[in-house]
Amino acid sequence: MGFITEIVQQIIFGTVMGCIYALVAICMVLLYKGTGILNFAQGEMVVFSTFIAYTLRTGFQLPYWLVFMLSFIISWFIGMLIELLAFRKVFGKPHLNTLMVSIALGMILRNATGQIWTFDDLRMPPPFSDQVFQIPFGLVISPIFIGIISISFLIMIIFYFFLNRTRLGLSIRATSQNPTAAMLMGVPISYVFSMCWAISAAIGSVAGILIAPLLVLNVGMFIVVLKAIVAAVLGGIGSLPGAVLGGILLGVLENLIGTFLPSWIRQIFVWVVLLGVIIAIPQGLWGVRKHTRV
Amino acid sequence: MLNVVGIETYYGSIFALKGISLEVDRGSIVAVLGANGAGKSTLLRTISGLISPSKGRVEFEGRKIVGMSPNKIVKIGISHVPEGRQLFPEFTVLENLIMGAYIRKGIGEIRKDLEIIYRYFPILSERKTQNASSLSGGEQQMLAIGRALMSRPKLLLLDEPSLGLAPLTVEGIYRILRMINAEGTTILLVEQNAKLALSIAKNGYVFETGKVTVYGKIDELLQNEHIRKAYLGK
Amino acid sequence: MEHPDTNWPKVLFLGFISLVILAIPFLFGTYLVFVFSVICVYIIVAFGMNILAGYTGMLSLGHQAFFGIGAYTVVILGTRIPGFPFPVALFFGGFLSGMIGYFLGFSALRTSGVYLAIATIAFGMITGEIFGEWSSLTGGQSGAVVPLPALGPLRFESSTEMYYLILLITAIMFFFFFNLIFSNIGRAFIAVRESEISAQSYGISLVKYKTLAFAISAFYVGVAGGLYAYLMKYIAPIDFRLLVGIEFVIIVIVGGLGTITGSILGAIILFALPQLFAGLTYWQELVTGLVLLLVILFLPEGLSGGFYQLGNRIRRSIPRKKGD
Repeated sequence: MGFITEIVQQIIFGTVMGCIYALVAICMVLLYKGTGILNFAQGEMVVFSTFIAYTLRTGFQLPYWLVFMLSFIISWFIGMLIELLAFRKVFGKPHLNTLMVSIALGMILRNATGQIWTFDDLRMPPPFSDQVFQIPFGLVISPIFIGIISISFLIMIIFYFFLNRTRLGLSIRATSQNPTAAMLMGVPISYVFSMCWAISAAIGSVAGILIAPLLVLNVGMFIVVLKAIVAAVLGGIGSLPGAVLGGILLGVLENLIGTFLPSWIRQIFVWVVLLGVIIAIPQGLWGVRKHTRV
Repeated sequence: MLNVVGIETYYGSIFALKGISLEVDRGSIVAVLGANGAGKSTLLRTISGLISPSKGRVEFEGRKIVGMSPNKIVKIGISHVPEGRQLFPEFTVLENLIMGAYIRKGIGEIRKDLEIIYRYFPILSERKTQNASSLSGGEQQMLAIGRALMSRPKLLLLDEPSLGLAPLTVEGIYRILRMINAEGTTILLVEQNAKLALSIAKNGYVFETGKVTVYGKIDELLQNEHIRKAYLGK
Repeated sequence: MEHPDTNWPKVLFLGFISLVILAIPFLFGTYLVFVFSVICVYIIVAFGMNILAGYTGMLSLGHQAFFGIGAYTVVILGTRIPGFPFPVALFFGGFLSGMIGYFLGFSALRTSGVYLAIATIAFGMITGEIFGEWSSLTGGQSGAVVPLPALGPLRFESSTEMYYLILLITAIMFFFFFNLIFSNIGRAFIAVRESEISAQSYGISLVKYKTLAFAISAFYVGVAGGLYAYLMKYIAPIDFRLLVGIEFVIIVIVGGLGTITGSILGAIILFALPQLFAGLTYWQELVTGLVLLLVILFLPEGLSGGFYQLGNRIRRSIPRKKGD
């Protein structure tokens, strides 16, 4: 009985973590589909936004709902700014250029975050009670888990409707399939790119605020978010539902592995999965990796 | 209606257009002929705003359009059907057509135009819920043209509509082009198949390595020795 | 390669530079000698990275793993077998790296571009973790002391001795690098970079050359890793983290992909930068990132590319001699 309980418990933890991976993976896949850029700095952007939220909460003592909103808006503009400053110039250049730009951006952001705030660990107050409750079957649950999972799914649902029922969503979908054709239909491509970055940064900030209380908030947290790349690739880098699937699957598996095997195996588990997926199933579990132009 | 003067364009590092001048009268069909790599596609892409020329000007209905972004150029009435059709592969036929009307408002008018397109190309109506990538070559070309028409363009730019299509299909498409022109759309047509192009055009230009070598009314072109030998194989 | 007319200015210039390089320990103090030694190590790294990225066109963000493999090999061999001759240790470190690189190269066959880069990141993270966990072999997270390079009864300890040792190895590696890129193999690499399809139609086996490129570049970085270990006298897993791999790529991008001068320039810049901010190591990452960003945005050819343009303009104004 204890064995099964442990598994279920880890699945619960894993789902919580997985929701975060999924959110960040959505950000990355959105960017990849909309602009063709794989953003290695996604993690650092999330961390940067989270630090901002930290200051809003502990420095200005704002209520959490306001923190979420402000953080969202500020990150929105940060995303637009990043697109304007760093990525406009490399539009159309080989992919490796944009890759290196995003890596450079990550380095700059990571260091800047540490300079502006600190390189030490910070404790982020939780948006929901992180009290732990015992429920039947010896399982442990906390309001914060429910909070994370429900907000994550709320965002995913909103995002789905945004992408499929709004004009901007249509523009993004068209651009992701064929930017040239989209331009010729009258879609304002630079605006689409800008919005993709804005949305990506904003959703990322929410993900950061949700998870930071459970982990330690520090500059190195981006590694956690770097795993979202694995989630994205696992689901198939061109696929949004795949990103969700990949994220949750990754979270759960990671936790299960961590329970039964030494912790360092859990660390490399993520990377082994990544290597495996890239080599063996490049199109991911869900989607099509490359678009074929018609 | 369209005035192209002295356009010089680089395609990457290649000097693709070396001083092109062209005129398209309202309501006419103008053909641009020439071998591969002569710069014909580059011309269309320059007009539709996908490429910026390094020199020269393009005027549409009196407005200078060089430097305008492609989405603005669509708004002022120029629609470009690019080489290779460039459809949206994950969208259905219907969604592709609706994308064509992206810049327009007014569901009622858009729906009416959809019916018109279906009249031109009944096969599109049959396949309206299928993915664009599942269509045959000819059907894709029809979809590309239909999609471009959905923006109610004043000027339609067509890049090699006959490429890779069976002769019967091509004939059908050209018939429709004549109809579209008769209903008021001006057409600037790029074709390698000179015979076809000259069958519906009123004026023609011949491009050779980035320059216009011959131009004039169709009857004159058809008489031209050089053209007959090089492009009509006589 | 024959030069019917020797380019005297160039020869004299190179000769002068060579003399200066040889005389460095007599011209500068211990710390600067150390700096030059480190630059040499990074130059070897740059050669390796250039073979992969510059000439064959494949980007790896995991080469810090080979740096580590080379370093730890030298440590393990020297500690377990006192007096183990350093050339053998270095070579073995390089060889081991090369073999593992060879297999990593096989993964390059299934992927390309961005996905390859991601795969190499994963590889680097995995080896990094292993460095930290395999305590019995590597000393774990706390690291390991590096035994002195030994050759028979000789031990190399002072900064001057290390400098000449490293210089010698660098020269040897340079010699092979130079010959490699102008050989048929080198041309094959370039062919693969330019167009895989065309290369294949010329009978160039992608399998052979891609894996070879990985193997050789790993070898170089592995040897550099061994030298790095000797120089630092103490290594730990943190010396082989992802950031280091990124810095390796930066060396060749900033210096200029696919050029000899680029390799050297990049190494100098990458090492000179932190020195300028000595004491401000906290800023190092930011500055490096900024440099990389600016270079990619404004000078995609890297610095040597910029110099190349400049050199071209100068060269065009001087009547050329044959064989240039």
